[in-house]
Amino acid sequence: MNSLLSHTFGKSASYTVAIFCTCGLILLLLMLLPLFGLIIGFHPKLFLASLQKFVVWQAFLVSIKTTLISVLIILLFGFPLSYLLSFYNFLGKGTILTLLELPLVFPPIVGGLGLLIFFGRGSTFGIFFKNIGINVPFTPLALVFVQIFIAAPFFIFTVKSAMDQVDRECLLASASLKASLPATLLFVLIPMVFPAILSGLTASFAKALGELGASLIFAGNFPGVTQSMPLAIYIILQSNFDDAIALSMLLVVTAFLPLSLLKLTITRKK
Amino acid sequence: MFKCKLGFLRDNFKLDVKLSLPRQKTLAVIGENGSGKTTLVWLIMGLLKPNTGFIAIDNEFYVDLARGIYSPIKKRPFGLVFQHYSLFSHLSVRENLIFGLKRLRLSKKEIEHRSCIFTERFGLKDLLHRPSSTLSGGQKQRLAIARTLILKPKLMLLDEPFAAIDQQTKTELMSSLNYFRDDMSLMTIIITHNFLEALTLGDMIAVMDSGILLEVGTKEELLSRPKTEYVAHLIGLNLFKGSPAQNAPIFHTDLGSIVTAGIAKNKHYALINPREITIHLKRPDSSALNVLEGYITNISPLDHRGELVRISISSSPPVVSELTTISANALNITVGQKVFASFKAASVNLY
Repeated sequence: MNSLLSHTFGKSASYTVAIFCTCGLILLLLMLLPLFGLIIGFHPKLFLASLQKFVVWQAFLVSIKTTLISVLIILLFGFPLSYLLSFYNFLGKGTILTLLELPLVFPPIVGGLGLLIFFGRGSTFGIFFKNIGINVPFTPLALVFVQIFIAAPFFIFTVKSAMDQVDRECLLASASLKASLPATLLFVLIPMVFPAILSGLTASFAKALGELGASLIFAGNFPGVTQSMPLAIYIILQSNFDDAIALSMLLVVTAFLPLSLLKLTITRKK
Repeated sequence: MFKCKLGFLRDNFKLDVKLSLPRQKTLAVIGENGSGKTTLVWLIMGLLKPNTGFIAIDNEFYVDLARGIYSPIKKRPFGLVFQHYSLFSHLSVRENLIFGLKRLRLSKKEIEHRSCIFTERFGLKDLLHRPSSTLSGGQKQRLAIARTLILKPKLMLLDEPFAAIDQQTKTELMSSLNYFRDDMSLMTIIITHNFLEALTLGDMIAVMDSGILLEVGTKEELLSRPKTEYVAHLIGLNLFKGSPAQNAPIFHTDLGSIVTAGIAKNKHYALINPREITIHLKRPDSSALNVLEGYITNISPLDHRGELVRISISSSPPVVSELTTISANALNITVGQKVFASFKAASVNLY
């Protein structure tokens, strides 16, 4: 272990490193316990057998479909919002930033309840949506609403902070080289924050995929319609432990896949 | 001929500038940090909008707010090189170079043709496919200038171009700039805070302070007849603003009077070369008509070899004298000491 601090503080630095190493290792172990558990419970044969079951794929398809839609919506509406929050100062900006953090601290189950009340039969909005033929609660659309609520902040904050780092003069330089604003966004700003867009998307994808609390309340548990992977795991767990493990593995891999692909491409570029 | 008159007001900062620049000439704008130099070039380029004024080359007006004319950046034949280069770090050297050409939607053939010329001229040939983030400071600077010049502007604006590069690169860059100035009949405005750089680069020099130009002139005018204490101080001359007496060979300043060689009218400045001023420990009986009494406030070496020293004296008016280090040592003077400074009436230059 080589560090400037060791040279400067000598022995006391070594003691500190020893204590901090122990702390770090203990926390790492605690954090890895769930993964260990999954690995212990994993039997390839049983896994392959479970994967052939209809209920598993049904949940997988529900999750993938709704999550992809949610992530697409987050991208299309989140990018403009991040841009405004990074480049402009306006009245209420602080409030918006605080509101955006809400889902991070909001208990998901309470979020689900809120959505249920908003779109419910008792509310004006619920009645309005029902009258124009859009049914939200207990439909795949409800899953999408829930996922956006949970996952959007991860995208917006990642992209906004990347935009905050962009040298403003680079954009002015683009203008002085005769580029219009659309061209500047397309050829300068977006390429510069592209890694952040990707990592924001993967983070919100994983978050949306794993959401359970809010969807349980607002989307319900209809196999093939609103029964997402996390919900299916919860239900199957009570009858077939091995299927639950298989589905859990599938969920973890699906959530991790974009992230690892992203890391791979970034390291390869470097 | 480039002409502009600009008024700009924002957050307690006021800029009021009028200047003109003939073809193929370079104007060096010199001033301290915060004097408004960068604001000036941003206004000309179109990154900021002035409150009043106009910008024109010959009879082509790009901005004339009185007539409601305000051309966007794209329509102005100007190029700006930013102080910190502002290269696009995600693009290669070649992509940076042709960025502007692509935005102008020039033909592939024309883009190829121009990029060949500028690649050659700026020594970028071996770097073309490198990511621009891997370039050295001097290479970045060259690329920043090349990608601006490739658009063939009529006026080049360079914001502190030599702030962060070594002497070798500086010399190369100056020769490149001179080449294009002649080849493209380019007008150039260079911003600097280094007076020596301003003298080397500028045919004309403008001194800027708190948003206004204190004086604008050719190098020769500025050096021989400075009109501001700022410039006089920079080139190390004694400059006094004031007025001559009606019937006597005397020039009155706010801080004291000087005897001059003849009766002068309509002169506003008195200039004395510090080398004409000698220092004595006792009141001299020489023929010099000006003898000023005061205390030494500062002694500083003038050149890096230490052969000359500059001595500031708190007389009325305060003067600066230049001596050889040998004579200064012989006098054995120190800061705070009382001395007499003398100079002949004939060494006072009035204009």
